[in-house]
Amino acid sequence: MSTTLNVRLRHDEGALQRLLGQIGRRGYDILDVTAHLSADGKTFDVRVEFEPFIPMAPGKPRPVEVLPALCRKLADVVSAELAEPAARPPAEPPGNGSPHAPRPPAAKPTGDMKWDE
Amino acid sequence: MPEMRGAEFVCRALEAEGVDTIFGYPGGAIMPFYDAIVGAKFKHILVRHEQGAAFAANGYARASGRVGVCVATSGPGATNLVTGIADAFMDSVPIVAITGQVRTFLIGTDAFQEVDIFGITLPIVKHSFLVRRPEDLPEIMRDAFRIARTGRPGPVLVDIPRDVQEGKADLSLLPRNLEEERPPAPSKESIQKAAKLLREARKPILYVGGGVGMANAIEEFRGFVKATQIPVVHTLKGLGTLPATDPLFLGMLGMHGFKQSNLAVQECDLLVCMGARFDDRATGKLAEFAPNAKVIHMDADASEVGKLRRTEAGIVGDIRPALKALTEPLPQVAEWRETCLQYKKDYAWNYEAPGDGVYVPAMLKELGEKADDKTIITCDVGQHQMWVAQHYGFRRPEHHLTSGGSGAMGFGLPAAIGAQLGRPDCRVICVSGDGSIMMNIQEMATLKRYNIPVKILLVDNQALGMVRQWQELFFAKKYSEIDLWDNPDFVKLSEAFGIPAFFVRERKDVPRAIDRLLNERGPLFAHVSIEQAENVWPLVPPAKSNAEMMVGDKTQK
Ligand SMILES: Cc1ncc(C[n+]2csc(CCOP(=O)(O)OP(=O)(O)O)c2C)c(N)n1
Ligand SMILES: [Mg+2]
Repeated sequence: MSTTLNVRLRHDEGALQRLLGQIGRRGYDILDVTAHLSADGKTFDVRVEFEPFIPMAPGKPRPVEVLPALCRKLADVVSAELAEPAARPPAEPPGNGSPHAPRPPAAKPTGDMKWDE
Repeated sequence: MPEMRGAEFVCRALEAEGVDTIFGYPGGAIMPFYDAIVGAKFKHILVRHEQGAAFAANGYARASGRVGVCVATSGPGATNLVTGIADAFMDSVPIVAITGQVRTFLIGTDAFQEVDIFGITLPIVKHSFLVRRPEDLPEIMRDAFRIARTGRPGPVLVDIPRDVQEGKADLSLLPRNLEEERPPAPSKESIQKAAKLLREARKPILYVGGGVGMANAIEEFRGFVKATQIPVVHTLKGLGTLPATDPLFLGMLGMHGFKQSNLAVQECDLLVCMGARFDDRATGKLAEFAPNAKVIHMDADASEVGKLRRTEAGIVGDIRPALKALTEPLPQVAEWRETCLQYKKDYAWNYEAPGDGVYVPAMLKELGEKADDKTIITCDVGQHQMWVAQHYGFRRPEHHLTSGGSGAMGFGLPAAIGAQLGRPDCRVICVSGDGSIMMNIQEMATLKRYNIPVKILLVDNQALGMVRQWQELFFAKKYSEIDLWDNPDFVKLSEAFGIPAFFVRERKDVPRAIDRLLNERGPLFAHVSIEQAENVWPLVPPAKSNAEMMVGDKTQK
């Protein structure tokens, strides 16, 4: 099952490659990406549809909950949140309407994680 | 500030950051910078290979607590830094790597000595910059240092095209934003949750990595241990956070951990992970690691919490207030503590080995006992590295510089050079292997050129010993490409570099060798020859649970 990640990025050198590289390298398969540059050219809003790809161990998929934190530690990431499953919009062709699911309010990271076992 | 060239500004920015030493190697695309450093307030150390510069910056940073700086030209100079940058990434070491790049208008044309070092290093840097205009340098230089040292530290690459180094602009230093550099305080709820878990635990263990030292939380940590009396196991990088002489220190855990440490972790009901990351070398088979334990995980990096192991309480941010808040006596752990201390007695190392040859564990134990608290050990990678970790008995984590996460042979000598220059008040000893030393042997010339008083203790088993051990144990003794029977004469080699050297084969000569290493003023090379067949024990076979330790013959009881 795929999950949607919404990321706001500073429009810095290599920011998009860095983000997509981080997702791919950490064992998640990118299924769809849209990226929109803000009118002032300073930030990108990126929506990434992904699913865990490389398991942690046979039969044990990677938890998707850790991915936003892995993205947030990139210096050019402003925010990164998983879309709430219910609020996830259907996949759209690129450039069609708003690519972003409503952003959940940014919670202070407590470090507690749910875990798929 | 007046108008100046980009390269001059980079020098002023390094000075403003308090950098006193940088490590590098010149070349075409970095020539304006090399022109600008003449007369700068910092010292430049000319290494003999750019990998040496990156490792030296790493050793400098880890020993001194400041940001290390290495410099290289574009193309091959930059790619030669890559192993050292990856090493700093894996071990969270704050370094800034400055590379020259071809002129801006040549980028993307396959120009002479053009490589996309920005792209090559993307997965192994904390952050990176390609500087497009001299005007961007003030912000970039400030941010590079801030990013390298704050939160979970790491390497930052600043790739500067030659025309940006040469270009003139009105460039002023920007003030540091100290607010941005302060680690965030952990949430109250997470601390309360952890406090509850600690009160409920009967068999807690502290599993402590390099993060505690990096967070400057050693005093708080030691206070916490003293009050709670919870037994401690360390990762390779955590060694020294609790002094090895402390009764509650059980030893290193993991693949080459001590039996008492691994057993205690397997039996614990609460694992308090501090500044560690459930690395496979520490956990063995993850699914069977500390199988009955709830987990408290404290880390500066939120993405480590829950990455590999379910966590009941995650404390993210500054570990110091959390440790202070959690410091209270836990009388209910007394019985468990006695069990652990009994394990420690039961499995105490036997340093009596048969024969007259040098027994490395005993030699390193003696070295650790004789060395004062201003001695830094750097290591290379292999059996000798594990013997150091197991037997030296570290008292501070910054006294043990080892390539933990990336396990890079060749780290030891250049890291020792960096450490010695970062901490001129300390004695620095590099414990190396006959395979590893040859990977950056050219840095002996750096020792000589600057008369850097690093001591080298070469453990020569005429083999890539760690690989040989694995072939013996897991590949049916089918030895393949591990025999270094034709090593050079290391004493002559050292002397050819102008560094005095001596040879040791017999156990009776070890005390005198150690005394020389500890007392000689200049650089010195001790070539210690040992049996090829020696193995590192205990050993958890790859992908097995830490409960399945293999033990050798003359080692742990
Ligand atoms: C750059 C690099 N290449 C290869 C390895 C794989 N490796 C790990 S330990 C080892 C043997 C090291 O030999 P030596 O330095 O003599 O140490 P010993 O194990 O004999 O003490 C090798 C080849 C490595 N860690 N790093
Ligand atoms: Mg060897």
